[in-house]
Parts: sequence; structure tokens; C-alpha cells
Amino acid sequence: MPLTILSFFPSGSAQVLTEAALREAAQTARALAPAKARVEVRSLDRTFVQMRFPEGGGAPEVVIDGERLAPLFAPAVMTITFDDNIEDAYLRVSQTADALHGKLGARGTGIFDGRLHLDEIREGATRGVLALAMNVRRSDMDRDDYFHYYLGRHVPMAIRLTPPLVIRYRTFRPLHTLGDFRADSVTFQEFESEATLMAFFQARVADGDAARDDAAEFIQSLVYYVGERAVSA
Amino acid sequence: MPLAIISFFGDSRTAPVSDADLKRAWKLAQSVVPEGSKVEARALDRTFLHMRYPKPDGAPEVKLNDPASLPPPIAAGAITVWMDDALDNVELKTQQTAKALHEALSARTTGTFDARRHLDRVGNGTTPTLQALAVVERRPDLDRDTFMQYYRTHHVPLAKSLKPRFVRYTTFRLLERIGDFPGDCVTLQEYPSLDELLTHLTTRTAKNDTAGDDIGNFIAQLVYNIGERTLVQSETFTDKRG
Repeated sequence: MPLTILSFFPSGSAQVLTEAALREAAQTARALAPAKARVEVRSLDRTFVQMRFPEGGGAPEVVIDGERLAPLFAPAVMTITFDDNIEDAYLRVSQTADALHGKLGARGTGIFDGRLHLDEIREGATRGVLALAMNVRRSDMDRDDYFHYYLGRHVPMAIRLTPPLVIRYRTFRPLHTLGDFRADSVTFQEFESEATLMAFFQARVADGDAARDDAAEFIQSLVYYVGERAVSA
Repeated sequence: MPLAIISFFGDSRTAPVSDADLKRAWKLAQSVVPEGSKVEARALDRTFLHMRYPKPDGAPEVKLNDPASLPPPIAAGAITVWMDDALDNVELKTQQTAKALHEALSARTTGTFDARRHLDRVGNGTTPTLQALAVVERRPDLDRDTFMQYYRTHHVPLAKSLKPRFVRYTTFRLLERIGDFPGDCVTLQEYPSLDELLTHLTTRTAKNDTAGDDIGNFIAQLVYNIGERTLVQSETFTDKRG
């Protein structure tokens, strides 16, 4: 999968973005990105789940909904997926990320190696609910080891467990970041509806869930944000 | 560009890799890669340039085309595998292929890389004769992200703007390693001839060369291993040693 920019915007705002604001941001990104790049903006409406895995093993601390959840990282995320076949793709991506970060007044923007692991939507229009996870690796792993485990072991296992609830599953490995971005990776899981999202997470946070137990092997903590609105340009 | 694997095999301190050995390595690689992969085998016949910055921002130590003082190449040959990004679970398959390749070749070291091509004046034409495969080590005060960002967004455009003699230019950012790969990146520069390479590197290592001076901003050490024999998908040698 090609190079991808994720930009979390705007900075310092807890406000819910209107449809018009999402559309305007998408148009801004469209104007900055090369012609063949795919532009999509998603709202992030609320923090949904936090998990922290104790260093010595054992059950994770899980927070689902409620007042103990952290505030939103940002009200929206812009995704620009690049055509890898353009000349000097990496330079163009970098220039676009710099410009986008400034224009959107973003909190954090990154260039990522995006990987598409599951896609039941195919070329269809984006729909449904996005669960976006920001993951922090275990402190005893470097980032290479972390991704070795994540992409080589966890993702294939998780995919075996997820259909038909998850309709698209993407992971993003940061290559370069701007602003305030501290996670080691970002995960997009997309669902048809709020109901399938809830069913998925109820299974994942339950004791004895294989994917949850495996997450403890490489993740220290993760936060999921959920958004239901999407605009493409 | 897709994920790539580079596996360094054979002991360069003994004898250059023979054509037969190179072909054997290429066939071994073909037997372990998934369908849709592209395999290239390159001889690494000698080290051509060693550039090292003992102190950041200081002058570099340069050894160029001086066989007596240059160390042997990292290995006698290198296999490059270009993975097909359309494969299901391509990340897992890349890991598995790298491990299988490493074992099959009894390699010194094998890495998986994010590969980016910055210049291609060859296209699908004949593979250039002279291959310079550089192992690049970042400055210790830079992390790998910062190093690669500078490399790809500052140095590469600069190098391309200064009438380079290479006709293809690709950087490989290390993602994972097996064995003792000593760098953070591999750079592949392909030249029409040894003369062109020598002209290029003589210019780049001269005092006050803009691109040469920029190297010290992000690199602690680089070693160019060169070879003139390449075995590509068509199973034919490109060999212009005369």
C-alpha cells in the first residue's frame, strides 16, 4: 500500500466539526495533494476505549466510555493516500504533509507506511463507523520489533477473528511526524454500524479473548476514537 | 514502491562470487519467494569508497578507489527481492521470505526495507552495467526517522539537481534485520560504466562539493560496494567486464 498522510486537526479544539467544516478541509487537502492522491476526512466524535497492559503481565486496565476516558486527540483526521508511481513520491508526500499541517492548523501530522489488511468495501463509498486507535508499544521493544510482531503475527490472527464485523482494517507505521504526535502506530478499523462496533469491542475486551491477550505481547497502551462522518474529495 | 528484501551472502574475503554461485543464489531465491516477486542477484566485487565522519560537522575521512586501504565488501553478493504489494498479508509473507532466504543462502545478514526510487532513466530497458550498493549509517544524534526524512527530502533532490552520473537511484529504508546488518539504509546507484561512477564519486568527494558536503549533515559512515554482474528476472547476466 502506498504512502499515506494522516493529519489530526484542528489543534487545541474540542469542538465538533460541522459537515461544512469537514468538506472545507477536504477541499483544502484536495488543492494541496497531487491529482491521483485519494483524499478523505473523517470526524472523530468521541473517545471510546482505553486499554493499558501492565508491564508484568496480567489483565489490562480497560476503560469503556465514561468520565475516565481521555479527551479527543482532535475532532477530525485527514487521510491522503498517494499514488506510489509518481516521480519522487516521497518528496511530494513530504511537501504535501508540511503544507497540510499548516493549512489545517493541525495538532499532529505524519507520513506513514499504510497497509491495507482487510477490505470488504473495495471501491465502494466510505461508510459506517471508524474506530481509530493510537497505539504505544511496550517499553522493552524497539519500533522494528514492535512492527515485526504487529504486522507479522497480530494482524493475521486478528483478521481470522474479526470478519464479518470489521469491514476494513488498516495499519499505519509512522515514517516522519510533525507537531504533537507520540503514538508508535495508528490503526483504522471500520464497521458497518454502531451495533457491529459495539459487538466487536465487547468481544475484544472480554477475559480470555485471544486478540486482547496477544495485544499485551507488543502494546503498552492504546486509545480508540470513534467517528461516524466521512467526506471524500 | 513495494517492500523489498536484501540478503547479503557469501564471504567476500575469500574470492569474488563466481557466475555459477551467483546463478545458484538467484535460483535458491526464486525457490523461496512468493509468486509475483521479482528477484535480482548482484555480485559485490570490491569496496570502492569508504567515507566516515569521525566527528559530526568535522571533515570526513575518505578512501576512494584504493584497493590496498579499503575493506572487503560486506558480502560477495546481494539478492534483492521486490515483493508484490498486492499479495494478501504481504507484511507477513515478507518476514517469512526474508527468514527463508537468509537461511537458504546462509547469508551474513538480511534486511526488509521500504524501497523508494528517486530517479529512473532506464525504465524497462537494459539493466545498467555498474551497480554501486552503499550501506549507509546515520549520524548517532539522529533517529532513523529524522535521518531518512533528511535523506529523501533534502539530500536526494540536491543530488539529483547536480548532474549526477547515475541513471537509477533507489533508497531502501531498513525496517527489520536478521544478522548483523551494520546500517540504517541501503542506497543503490546504477551507472552506465565504471568510468561514470569514478567521475561521479571523484566530484562528490572533492572539497566544497555541495552534495558531498551535505552528506555530513545526516550520515556518519557510508561504504560503496560495487559490482558489474547482475542477474535479473530474465535469468540473463548483465556483465560488461570486457
